[in-house]
Amino acid sequence: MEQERQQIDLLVTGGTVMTMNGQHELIENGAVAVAGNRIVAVGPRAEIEAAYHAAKTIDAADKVIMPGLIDCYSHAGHGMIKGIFRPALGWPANPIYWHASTPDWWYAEAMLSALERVRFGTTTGVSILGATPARADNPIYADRHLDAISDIGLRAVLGVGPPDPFIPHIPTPWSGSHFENGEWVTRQFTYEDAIENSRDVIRRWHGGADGRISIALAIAYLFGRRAIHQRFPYHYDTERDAPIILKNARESREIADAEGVQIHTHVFRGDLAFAEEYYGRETVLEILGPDVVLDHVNDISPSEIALIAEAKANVVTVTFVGETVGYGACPVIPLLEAGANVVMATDGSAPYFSLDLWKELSRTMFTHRIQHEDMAILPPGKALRMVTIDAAMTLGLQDEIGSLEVGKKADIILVDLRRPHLTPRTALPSLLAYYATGNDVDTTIVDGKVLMENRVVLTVDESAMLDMAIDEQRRSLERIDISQFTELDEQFWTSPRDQAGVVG
Amino acid sequence: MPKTADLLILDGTVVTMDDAGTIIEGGGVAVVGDRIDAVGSSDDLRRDYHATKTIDARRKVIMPGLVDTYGHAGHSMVRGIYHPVHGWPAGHLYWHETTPEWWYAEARLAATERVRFGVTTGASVIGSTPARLDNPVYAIRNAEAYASVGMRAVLGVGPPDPFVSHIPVPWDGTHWENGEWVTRQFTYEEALANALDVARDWHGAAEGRIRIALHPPYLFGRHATDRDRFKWEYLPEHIPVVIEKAEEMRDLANRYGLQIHTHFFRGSVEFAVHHFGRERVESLLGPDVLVQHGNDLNPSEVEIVGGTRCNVATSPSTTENIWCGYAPVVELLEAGANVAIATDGSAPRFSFDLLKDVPRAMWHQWIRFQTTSVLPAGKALRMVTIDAAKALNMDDQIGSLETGKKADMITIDLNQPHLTPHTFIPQMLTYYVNGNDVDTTIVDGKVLLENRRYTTVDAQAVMDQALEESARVFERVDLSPYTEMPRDYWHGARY
Repeated sequence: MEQERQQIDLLVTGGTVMTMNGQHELIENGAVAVAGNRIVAVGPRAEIEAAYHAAKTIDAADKVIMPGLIDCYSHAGHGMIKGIFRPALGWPANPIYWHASTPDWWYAEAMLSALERVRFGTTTGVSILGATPARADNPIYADRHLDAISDIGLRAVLGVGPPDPFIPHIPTPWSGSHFENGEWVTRQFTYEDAIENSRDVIRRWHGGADGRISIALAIAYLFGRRAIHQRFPYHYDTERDAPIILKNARESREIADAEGVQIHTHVFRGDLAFAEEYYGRETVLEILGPDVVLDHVNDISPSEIALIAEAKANVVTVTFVGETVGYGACPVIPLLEAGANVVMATDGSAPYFSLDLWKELSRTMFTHRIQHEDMAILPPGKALRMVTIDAAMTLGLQDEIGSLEVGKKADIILVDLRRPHLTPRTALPSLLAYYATGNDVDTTIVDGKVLMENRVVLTVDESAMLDMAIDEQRRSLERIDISQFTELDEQFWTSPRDQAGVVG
Repeated sequence: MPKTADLLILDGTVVTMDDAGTIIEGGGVAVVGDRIDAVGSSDDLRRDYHATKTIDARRKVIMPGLVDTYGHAGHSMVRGIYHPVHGWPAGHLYWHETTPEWWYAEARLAATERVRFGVTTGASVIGSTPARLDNPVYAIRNAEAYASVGMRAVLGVGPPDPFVSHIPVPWDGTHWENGEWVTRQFTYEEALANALDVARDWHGAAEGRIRIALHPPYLFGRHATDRDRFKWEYLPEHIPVVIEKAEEMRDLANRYGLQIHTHFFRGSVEFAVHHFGRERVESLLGPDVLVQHGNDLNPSEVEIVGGTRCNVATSPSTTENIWCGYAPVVELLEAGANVAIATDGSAPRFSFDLLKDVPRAMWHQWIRFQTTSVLPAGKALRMVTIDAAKALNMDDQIGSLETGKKADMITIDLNQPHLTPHTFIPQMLTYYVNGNDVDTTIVDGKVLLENRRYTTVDAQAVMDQALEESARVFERVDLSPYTEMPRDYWHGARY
């Protein structure tokens, strides 16, 4: 007699399940069963289909069923300024973010970037609100960003926090412009205002949207930024700044502990060495910890590597980013060998890269193989972990997401193998790590809900959202002249070097 | 009285890639037969033409088809089958386990992939280096496959290198004949004769879409130490043979009007200059030579390659960057070389998606010079279109959208989240677009892909055939050294 089948909500069946579990099981002709927002079974198709009856079934024949990707670092806002960049002139991010963007603009941008992530199979994405520093002069910008995330159904971590008090990315005294009652109003604000607004966002949103939304405290440079860079020619006055940096860092740690949120911050060569020298190793270790996510981490020293490993802090590496041009690369291999958890991320979608996290796998593997002059660096399986389960660990969410296992949240994507560039499929994990792109993802499921199926987005009207983004961007560019960044002169087309804007 | 066009593409952003860098918003292209009849504003084209077929390119870029100056036939069957210590099985498979049908299936798969990624002209060396020319049938089946898909293709054919053979000496290849495998030895002269046979029959075939290039793997030998990967040494008696073969290639290229495609790495040119003299070396080089890779050439080598106006196909995704170091692209350009960006596809670790290689090529130079001010995005885009066409000596026919040129073009769908807003379109193309964003591919005026649907091939059947042929081969070959996934595969910083 046929056994009574258990009623569930969703069955994804007939594909190769790449579980990313502890044994890295691959199940040919497998299936995943989902009830509510959780995975209730993973196994061979025949077994799962015999045990469950689903309200909705997705046929995954010739597809890979795998955990959704997790992008641990990007910036909200960047979706609106893609490609607007000229090497020696930089890009217009800060003037637009601080003085030409409305709450609706931030909603449109969040929706646009969330759509991009859904399309590319990223089910959890971190965004820092604005460039560094985050825009926290009024909580409305975070609110509107998170409204969009709620509407589309993505899982997200939003980083909010104050600008760095010593680094004038934005004009000092700090000011931001707001569009209120039909006109632009510019207001000054303080570090304390921004901290207060950040706390407010944390309290209202952390754990929101059925737990899909987390807030992190985004501190531009927790221990300052020591290494000079062509795009970052700021010098700290150590005598003046060191005590304040420590006071602020301690305050960040207190907020993180009190509110149960992570700290996300940038680290480059020398920042941790400075902190250790001025504040002592113990103090630094009190502030760092497994709930701290260090972005970039370029060109750090062996002693800084040891400090990160001891603190069990997480490292996010981004391969093709301006910081790597001018600093050295992030020492990914020594960090991993020291025991640190290292993951790959996009750093957002401007000025010259997309939110396609897939592209980071081959770029990162290749970059470090070149650097070490050795092919036997960063195996493709480890690379896949660095955008799934290791990335979940970075966000402290490894018990909830990052692998397809019973009891975890149903964040699942399907990769369509019926593409010439993914045929034949002899060594599947390597094929995915080296060959797949975001556009090969055809179905994206978050929290058990199908956000995209067969490349059609189901939860929002994609076309209308794209139009909205184009409209909002046009409005902001009426206030900010970007022509210097987009000039198509002869150098742009024909010269081996672009000297436009180069001084001297 | 309006003219009749066979095809009108309207209302897109035309990125012409002409010398002035003309971009036409709300523009289009009119095609008559296999040629571009006009490029201009959509209003003008609507006024001047009736069309049998019209393609709506709203929120799309219309641009010349991409030109991939360097790839390998055979590789599409061995994607991802790679282990950093054990290597990969390509050489053995190609020489001893493959049938003509396998080569046909592989080439159909490769051409189908390239069409999907907007590559309208693709060069392929038949096999790994060296090309498999122990029998002309393998190259012929490749040419037939590319011709059947409708792509434009350049096949690299030639004998193995007499001193640095990837295959065992005496050279042999195994053929499937009358139901059994037969292994036969062959000589340099036989392979060269086969290559010339293929050239006679196929150069200019398929309405001119198929071209043949001579591919001596290493025109001046291979000399970079490559961290002990290639350990051959040239004995004194080898040295006169190197120049003798190189001069023979030059004669054949001149006689048959074929290009020479060959690998240079650091030391290749220096070796030749040292032994044969600069003048003699320079007399063998020229604008009909395409140098593949060019990694880590030293300044005097850059001067010679640039000064003789050679072309260079730099492949930013390949292993050679790891073994030899980067290619000095900026210096080569400044020395007068024409440089194209190529895939070296499509195995063991990268696809035929040429667009992925554009930011990689830029990035490598940015890292070399520690500034983002080298290799501007517009120049990089030329390096996969008009400059790449020039590298194949085809820039009078393809590589830009200009009246009179062949109608090889693509459209790119901008109405996607990662391409919205598209304020500065040339930089969207270099930094953000990937091959999958191409939605229409046209070669010789014929639509091969429209809205991501193939019109000349049944893609599912092509993939099924490739799976079948690869399964047949893999039944006989133990792939486990390349595909095992021990603990370190998943957890190691290193293998």
